Amino acid sequence: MEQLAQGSPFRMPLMSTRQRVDALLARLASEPQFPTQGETVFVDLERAEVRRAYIPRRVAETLLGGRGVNMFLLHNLLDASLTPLHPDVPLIFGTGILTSMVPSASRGNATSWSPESGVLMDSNAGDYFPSFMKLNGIDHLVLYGKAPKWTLLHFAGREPNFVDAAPWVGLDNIDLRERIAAHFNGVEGKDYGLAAITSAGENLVLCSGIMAGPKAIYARGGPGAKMGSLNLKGVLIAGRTADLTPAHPHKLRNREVAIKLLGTSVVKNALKKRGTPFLYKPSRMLGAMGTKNNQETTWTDKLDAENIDPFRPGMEGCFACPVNCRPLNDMTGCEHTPQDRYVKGDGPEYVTVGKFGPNIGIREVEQVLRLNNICNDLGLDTASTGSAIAWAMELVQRGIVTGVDLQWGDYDAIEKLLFATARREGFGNVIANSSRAVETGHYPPEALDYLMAVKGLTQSDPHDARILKAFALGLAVATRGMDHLRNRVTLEINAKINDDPGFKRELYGGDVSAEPNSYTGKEVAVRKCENTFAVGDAVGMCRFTTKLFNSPSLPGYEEFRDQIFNVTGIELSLDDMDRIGLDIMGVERLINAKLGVTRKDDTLPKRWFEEAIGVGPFKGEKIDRREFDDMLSRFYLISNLTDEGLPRPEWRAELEGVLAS
Amino acid sequence: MITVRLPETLRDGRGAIVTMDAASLDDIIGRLELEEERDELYNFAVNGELIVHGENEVVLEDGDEVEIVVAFSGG
Repeated sequence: MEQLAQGSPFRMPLMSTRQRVDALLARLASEPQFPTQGETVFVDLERAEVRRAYIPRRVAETLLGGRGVNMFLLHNLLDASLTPLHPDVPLIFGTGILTSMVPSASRGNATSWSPESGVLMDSNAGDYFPSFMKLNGIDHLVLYGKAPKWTLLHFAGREPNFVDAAPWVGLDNIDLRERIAAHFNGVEGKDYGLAAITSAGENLVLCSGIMAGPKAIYARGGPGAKMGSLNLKGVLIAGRTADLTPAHPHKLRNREVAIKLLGTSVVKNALKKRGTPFLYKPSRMLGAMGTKNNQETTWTDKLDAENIDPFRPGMEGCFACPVNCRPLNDMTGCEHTPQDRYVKGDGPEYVTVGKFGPNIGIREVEQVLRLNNICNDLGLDTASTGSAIAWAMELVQRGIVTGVDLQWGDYDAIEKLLFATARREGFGNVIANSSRAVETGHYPPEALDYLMAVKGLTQSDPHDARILKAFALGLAVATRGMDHLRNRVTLEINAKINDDPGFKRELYGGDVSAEPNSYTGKEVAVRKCENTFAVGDAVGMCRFTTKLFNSPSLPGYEEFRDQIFNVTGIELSLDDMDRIGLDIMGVERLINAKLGVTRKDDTLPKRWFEEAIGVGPFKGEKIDRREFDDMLSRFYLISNLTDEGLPRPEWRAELEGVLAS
Repeated sequence: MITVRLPETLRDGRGAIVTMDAASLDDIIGRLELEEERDELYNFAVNGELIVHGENEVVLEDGDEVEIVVAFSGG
């Protein structure tokens, strides 16, 4: 997976990245291809050179924008003979085609070759940075080359300034954002958007992200390390200079979208009230809460969402989003936690509750909140970092790693370890290598038996998927590794939907077994979700407000199609929307193939095949290898993929035609 | 007698815990008049175990503890 095999049919002629950029620019458009389209800006950080173009209309009609067009760019610019942290491997920011233009569409993606997993890196974040890109006429930002010194890229008009970042080197998120605000005399979210790394990114920590706000983070796959490899401390985009006049009036439909999403039960009754920590309880009660590196699957009710209530002063949200689903926390006056800079913060999300609660043996709400606040400051991906720590704890428990005092639930050791990780000090240097600690020689090969990862990426969320087979398949086939946000069939947990076969058939376009632990038809649901969510990312919509993710009633293809037409003038059918989702996945699989990914990588951690769930209504459940393999084959079949998980020849030729356009 | 624990959003002036006679989960919905409000977001848990399908097949027994849980799985 790490490198392209010699003689692979995917090998491209050896070209430097500058030659690749030249060749790509020659094929791009020099004028906007539709109303509101922004530029794709190529920045050579080593030479401080900037070039611009527009994505061809054919590419936009095939992949829309955001994640989709990022893949077009990466496919064209990636040299798989390099290594992920080589400065000639670009880091690409993209905004969705409707980012900032539609309620709750405030998202964008950061894409590259993951230094953490070794496969595709593609991470999504909201807050304000993606919207400020769009508001300033930048749809995609392609960064490559290593800046001669630490640099902050500052867009205040069309031309960026290459600002000496020396004053901010070594700063973490809290101090950095304060100092940037003072230096540029502005307010984040009002005057500018900022995406920046902390000391962890500077130190090439593989579980570090790019902070897009106090908590918002391009998290998965090591984006922080990738940005650090370019000597780039951050990108600051100020102003609102773009002409975003839509092709047709769009505000009336926007109003309908907002009403629809605000009227949806999961938004109204859950996300707006407590945010995602609500998820902890059902997973715990199902016996599916990943605990102690998934050795166990249930944990204390002390971490249920209502127990976080006393520490939640309010909720926050992203640009132009009416939902405001991000819980804040404040432990001021709490005798169980130090009254320092980490006494208050932003979050936690469910992922953090799980990864820094049961996964590492922590039982106290205040401790989870404090670790959340520390991770936000240090710029650490809580999913990867929590997973790496849990993995280390199990290795210590089993005596595979010795000489390290790291026990389940040892709060003080964990807190210290986070700071050591960001600085790559002591055992923190091992955690900083995340899932690659065997490859880097820190753990023996047998440690891999206990790594909860797929395609080199540790699991994004704490839900143990041995019970719900659609979840398991989704984690196995997700193109960026073991991550639920690419395709999770979240509604598989909802009895009311499971018990209505007709509704379920209509929802997914085919028969899907009512029983969550059955393998029958789950590929149909995963396919539908993967398409829908890929389109959502290409549009810029938040996953929490995209149809099928937690609700059948949220905005989906119909609303996206209408607003793409209203905003850009591009006319698409509902079938086109579904095809776009499939195409994005197809391109991602072509990129992964360049990196050596094959069918064997669409799998699950060994533990889930061999060890059964020990508690709850599905006690005894695990993944059956033959059933799983059959389900994977069916998934490939309905996804128009070969037995090795690649687009079938005719479709592949079509995709490559677009990629070469 | 069945003990039913309600989430904040479905209390509608009731306490967090109510008791009633009920033989099925449908009985509970009917007696609490939750037919409209109880959408896909809410699952039942019986004696601490989440019910994810086959609600109609659940037979309640005297002393059972039922909880209506805000249940979603993507975050």
